[in-house]
Amino acid sequence: MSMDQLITTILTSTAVTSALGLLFRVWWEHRLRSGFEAQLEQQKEAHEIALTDMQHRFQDELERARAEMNLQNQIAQVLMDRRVKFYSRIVELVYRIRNTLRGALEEQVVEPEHVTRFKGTIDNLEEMIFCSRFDLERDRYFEPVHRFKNDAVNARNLLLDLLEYQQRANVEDRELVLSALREQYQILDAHHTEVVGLLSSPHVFTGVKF
Amino acid sequence: MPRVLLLLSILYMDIDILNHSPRFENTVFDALALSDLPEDHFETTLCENLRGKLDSFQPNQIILHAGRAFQKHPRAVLSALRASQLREPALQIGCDRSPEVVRRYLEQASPQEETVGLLAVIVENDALLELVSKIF
Repeated sequence: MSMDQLITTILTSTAVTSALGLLFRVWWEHRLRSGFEAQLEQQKEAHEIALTDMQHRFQDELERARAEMNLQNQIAQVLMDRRVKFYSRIVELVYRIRNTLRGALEEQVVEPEHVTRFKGTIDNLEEMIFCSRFDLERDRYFEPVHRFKNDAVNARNLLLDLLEYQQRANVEDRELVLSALREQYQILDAHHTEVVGLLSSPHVFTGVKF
Repeated sequence: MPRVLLLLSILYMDIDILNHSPRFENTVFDALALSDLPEDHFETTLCENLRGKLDSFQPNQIILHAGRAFQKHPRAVLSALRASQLREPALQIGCDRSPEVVRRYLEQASPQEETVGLLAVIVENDALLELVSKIF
């Protein structure tokens, strides 16, 4: 083999090898890209399905949370309305009891119908306490309101005693009862301020304890 | 002289007012508060306290205030009162609520159990009703 032939053979082999290498590279790259693209497409689809599923679940949960929140708001509103209604009535009765007793002490003479009315107001207060006992218990207002009611019952018993001594014209004992009634009024007045303060507090109208 | 034991929820009622009242000149009052009793041994302690009062105060009548404390333990209170009545058969037991209301409290507290036997503990007569209306 001559030198020319050898060089030609080497160059030809090199060219063929390079061409084959290039072809293989192009083929390999194409194969790889196709595989990757197929995988990518599969993953994309899987992600899209997962994403859609997540969106649906999120939407469901959002709806559920929204419905729950609406229900809670409705319940809170009903409770608030009920509380405002009963508490306003209790405050009104507490005022009336305190003022009636103050009036009796100012006049220093008790009429049977005054005591009957006073008892009627206490009975109404007792009924209101009974109707709103769950709200009062939950708000921890039951004790002061109940204590006020008992102050009023004590005052009513003293008023009845006063009436009895008035009818018997027993001045000395009447004075003793009047003095006890004044003391009872001081207690009742202090508890009245506490009850009115509690039952008219912003908490009653907002549901938030300040 | 009649001796009346008041079974109250809490001792806010001034017993001295009643004991010095011209309206109850021949009556002596004493009181027992249900709210002072321990929750875990409520009935046992109430029975003991009632026994103590039956011995020391010797009441002819017991007036039950069916308030919050009673509403919590209606069966225990009425059972303890029934035990007191068995011990002192002449003892009269009244209540500031009608038997119908007491029955409702019993049913609310334990719907499955019988109420008739326990309700029979409470007596309703004119003298007791008048006494109740004068106290509460």
